[in-house]
Amino acid sequence: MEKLTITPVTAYGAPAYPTRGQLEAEPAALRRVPRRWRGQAVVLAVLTGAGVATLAVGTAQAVEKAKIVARLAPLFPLGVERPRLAGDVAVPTLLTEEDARAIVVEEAKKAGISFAPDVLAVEKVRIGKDGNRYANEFQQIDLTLDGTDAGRKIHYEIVTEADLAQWRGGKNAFCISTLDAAVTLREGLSQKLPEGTTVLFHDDGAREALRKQVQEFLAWLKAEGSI
Amino acid sequence: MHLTLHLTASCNLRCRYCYATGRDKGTMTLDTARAAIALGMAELRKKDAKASLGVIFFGGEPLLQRELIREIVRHCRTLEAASGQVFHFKIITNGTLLDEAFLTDPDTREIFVAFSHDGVEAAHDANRVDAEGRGTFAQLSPTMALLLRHKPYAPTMLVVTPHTVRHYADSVAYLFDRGVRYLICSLDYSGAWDAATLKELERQYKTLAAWYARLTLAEEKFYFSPFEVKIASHIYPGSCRSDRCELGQRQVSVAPDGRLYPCVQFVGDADYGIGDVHAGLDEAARRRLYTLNAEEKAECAACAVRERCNHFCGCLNRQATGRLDRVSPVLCAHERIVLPIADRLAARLYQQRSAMFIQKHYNALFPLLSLVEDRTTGIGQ
Ligand code: SF4
Ligand code: SF4
Repeated sequence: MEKLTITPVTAYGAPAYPTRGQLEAEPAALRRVPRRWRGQAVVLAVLTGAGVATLAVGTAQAVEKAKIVARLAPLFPLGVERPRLAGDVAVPTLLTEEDARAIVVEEAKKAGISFAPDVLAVEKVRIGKDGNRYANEFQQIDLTLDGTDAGRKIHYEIVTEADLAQWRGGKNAFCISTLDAAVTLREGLSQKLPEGTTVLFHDDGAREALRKQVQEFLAWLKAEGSI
Repeated sequence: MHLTLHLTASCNLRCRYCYATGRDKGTMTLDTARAAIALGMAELRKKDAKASLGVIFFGGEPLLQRELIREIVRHCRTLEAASGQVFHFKIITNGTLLDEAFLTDPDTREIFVAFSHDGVEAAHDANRVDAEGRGTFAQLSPTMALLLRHKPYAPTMLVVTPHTVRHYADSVAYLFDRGVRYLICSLDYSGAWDAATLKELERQYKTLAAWYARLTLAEEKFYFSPFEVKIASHIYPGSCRSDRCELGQRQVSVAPDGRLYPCVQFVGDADYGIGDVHAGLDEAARRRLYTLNAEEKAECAACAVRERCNHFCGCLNRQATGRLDRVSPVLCAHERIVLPIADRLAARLYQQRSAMFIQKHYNALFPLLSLVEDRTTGIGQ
């Protein structure tokens, strides 16, 4: 009998279906509802109530838990991402944390949402190591969300260069953008969702791009019938 | 964290691919089980005081020790009430001793049951035989119906050998048609696979891909592990590596005599011991095995699919090659066969925007949605 051997694959093309992160670019796909669920009011309530939220559950208590609406808004990536260079530690941003928060608060106010700063803490959120969405290792972070409208149960967090620097403990990281970091944080947060709607923005240094993200989020809330 | 309690090395069957045969035939005492549970709880408290402890009843055939199982469950329930630490239980059984009483008894009815069955009669009876060499297919037929009536989500574990590979697709379809919805399939990696049987394996996976596509487009809900795992390894990059067993970090196997091992494959092999229920975990031994296993295998370093390949599994490697750090050529061949078939299947279903495919693979809420659906339509009550 011939001997079987370990034979490495020399080249393998990218599969013709998206990763979970890539699917963010096509939120409509996730809203496709199997025909068998269409007449199922309770299933639809969970599906739409939770949006694309991801709760790691599967028990009877989970059914109870899902009645509390906890959902994540999609990301609103805009514009061209700034390239990151290897060893590029502290890229100066044009926005300070205060500036960035002020933009979100100002835009949200126009839609009647009033954010109070640093109300809600979420502990032990699992993110890709150093904020890298493609990492094979993970780390846990404790987070205080940047703002909360307690009445409407809406929470936001802006992922900034400062957050990235903190997660990687001052170590050099390469090619990690705030959008990449927001993707992995979003995945982690989906397992720890507070009640209400949570949205992540990313600060890529441009004031108008951040404002646009907030506007897109507000348009999304409106389309969802939430404001 | 999980504790796998090898209640006994004895078994009433003599499956031809069984790696448990030939072990000494000891039986665990209640004291050993209690000490194991105390150790598991203490380990868990170091990390998270409220995390739940999984207890898996394993063998040999664990149902040979039915009274011991009941006593262990009662002991854990008492601990639960006192400590607030929650337990959940699972049994992995050949099914021949499973009956209504076990599935309804207040002590044992909450136990999650996983059951071994190799599918159609020709495949099942080729390997899963009793002490007289008789196949167990006919005996298990009513048991399967009974189990699924009480536990519709019970997973079935199917082993494919070079001799039974030509029945693989038929076996999977047979189990599905009987009502099984969770199919955990694996190869007998230590079997005498060759080019011809591997070619047949490829043909069977292609047939299974067509079956999977047809059912998914018909919006059936089911889990067929070889495809699900490979598809997830692309959709969630890194999941293959992070989901692997971490050799003694997340689960510990306890032999009947109380010695500890990192996984079921190692029980009874002194070289792989990582302590004892009374003396505790031997951290140095555990770390040594973990490090040995975590090293990238030299043969695989240049492979384009290594992040999506299961060669990280030290237990499979040990089963097939006798060594933790030596990759099994059968595993390598299997991965190279199944990966492109699973990717083409997923691409086709995605391109057709199959709602069931998208919900199942991209919405981590899927298990909950599915459960809600089943509860509202009366399944699994
Ligand atoms: S396919 Fe083979 S060579 Fe490639 S990583 Fe897997 S076992 Fe190693
Ligand atoms: S039922 Fe399991 S333990 Fe018993 S002989 Fe078969 S494989 Fe081995």
